[in-house]
Amino acid sequence: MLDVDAKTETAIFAGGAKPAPPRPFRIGRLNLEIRQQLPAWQQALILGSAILIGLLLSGVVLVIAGVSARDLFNEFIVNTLFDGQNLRAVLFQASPLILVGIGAAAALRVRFWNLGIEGQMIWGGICATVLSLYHVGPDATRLPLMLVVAALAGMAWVLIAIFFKMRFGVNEIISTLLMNYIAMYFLLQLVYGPWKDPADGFPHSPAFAPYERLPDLMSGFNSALLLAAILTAVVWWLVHVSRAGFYMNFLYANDRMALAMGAPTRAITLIAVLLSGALSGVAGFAVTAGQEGRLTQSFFEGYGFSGILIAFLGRSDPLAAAIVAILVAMLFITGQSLQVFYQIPFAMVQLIQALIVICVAASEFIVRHRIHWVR
Amino acid sequence: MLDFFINWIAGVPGTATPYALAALGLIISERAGVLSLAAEGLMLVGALSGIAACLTVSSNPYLALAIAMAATAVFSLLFAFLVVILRVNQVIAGLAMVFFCQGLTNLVGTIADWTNRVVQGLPKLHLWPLTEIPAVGRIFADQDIVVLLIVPIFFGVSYMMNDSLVGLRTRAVGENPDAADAAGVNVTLYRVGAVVVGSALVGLAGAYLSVVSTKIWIPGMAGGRGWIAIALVIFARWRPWRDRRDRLRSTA
Repeated sequence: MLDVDAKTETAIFAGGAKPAPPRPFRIGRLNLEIRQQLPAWQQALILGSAILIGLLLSGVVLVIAGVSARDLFNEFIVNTLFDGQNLRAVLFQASPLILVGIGAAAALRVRFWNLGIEGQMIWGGICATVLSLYHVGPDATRLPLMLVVAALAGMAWVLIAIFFKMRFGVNEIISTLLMNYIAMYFLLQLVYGPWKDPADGFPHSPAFAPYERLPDLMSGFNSALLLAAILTAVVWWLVHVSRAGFYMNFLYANDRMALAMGAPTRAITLIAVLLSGALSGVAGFAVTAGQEGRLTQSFFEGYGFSGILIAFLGRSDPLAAAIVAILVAMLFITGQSLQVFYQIPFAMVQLIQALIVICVAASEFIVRHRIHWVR
Repeated sequence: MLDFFINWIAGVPGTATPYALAALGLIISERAGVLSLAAEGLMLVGALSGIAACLTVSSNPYLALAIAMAATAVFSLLFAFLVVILRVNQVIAGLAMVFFCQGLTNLVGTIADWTNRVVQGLPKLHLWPLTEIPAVGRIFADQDIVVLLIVPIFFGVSYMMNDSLVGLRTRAVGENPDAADAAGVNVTLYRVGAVVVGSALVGLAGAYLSVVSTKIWIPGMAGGRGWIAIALVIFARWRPWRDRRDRLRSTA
């Protein structure tokens, strides 16, 4: 799915196609051919086994770290899926992950690497908290207003990067990433300084009022999930049904061609990237007004990279990304209980995600190439 | 005021060293056409392995720096394998590597109990005649051997990239792999080599942070320096070159 460096491809490929020099003991060589297409079931099989290998490797690491295999199975599968409370926790955790996942996917569809998800989340959280701290507007409309402001804030933060990219050709990978640090230090300045909670003196903002938090719906499922589901549907419509989605595919396949054919490439890029920023801002709002109930100093941690990895594993498809996000949320919840009961650092979750992504990315080699052993 | 100023100047080389080392390493791999976004993670690997060598092998800091370089180089083979041999998208592979290294170093540091343990570190150099200069002498008293080593490393990298056959081939592989391959250069080998050598310097930068600057391992202690080093490489190299090309195009 993701672009292969065309030059590399042919260069190394050509190395295999050259006639081999005569050698006394020839044992043959590997020959690579680029595949046009692989049947869907074979692709699914390869993807499935790659994820399985990644999980097995993670399991090995965890066993080495001191968790017995049986505990691992109980913790990971039985406790997270077959316990109502844990399932609700997983879905609650999944909501911001879905938002950042579909946000990253939207940007990837126009070949924009939005690595600034964390910065956009931070600004979403900060701006939502401003409304709470200064009691902007009537109480009844506070929550929707916070949502809108958070979306705008995330959008504004990514606008800087896309402006620099379009105007001056600044590489967005670096600009979005380094802008995370600006946002983070501004957040730290706020929560250690003027916004420090006077009630307990800890570095986080005062707690939100009950009407400023995302309410629980029936049977304990949080409305954050509903929000994420609605936005997933919207993005799915935009990407697969609307005209903008068609242009995005065009742009992704060949941007120069799209420009030459008169497609509004700049507008489409802008729409996709701003949407990505807005979704990340909403994710920041969902964490502050959902899980945390206040602005904390590290509420955004891990979401940025998880978003990119979710979009990658979901192949930039909003629906697939949402499903992957739920699985990653399972991992988050399991990681939290491993942290509590086995003193395993939460970084384990990062490690497992990275292992799975590395395995899946490596498996695409087999999807894209046919390997022959030539004698 | 003067005191503050002198202290400030004396602190600059120590702060700049990790950036300079990492940026030099990244230039090598980027000239070969590999965007090494893994720098942040590899720096952490270097930092942890430096401290680990101090705590377990011997307290000799020079040995620790060497071990950290070697460990990071070995680690970067995974990244090189993904990017060069399996041709995984460089951004995804780099991000996954950063995540992988962050998770692994945090986990290993915690399990092996290497976190927050102070090591001896590298002694300060006493450049005798220079340290005796009144007031300014402190600037020279506060430096260590790695700061001075930057100069030969810089000239070495510069010479290797610009004036040696290996450097010429490396640049060719980065700029036009098709042509390089047609000329008989082993593209895979040169790219893997560039990643490994560059990562060794990144690892040295990480080990400098832990073994020399702070003398302690803290999870995630690279603190974004790897990303800044990547940005430095872009500021130093990509932009002028592209500017010139764009200007040529507009005048043509």
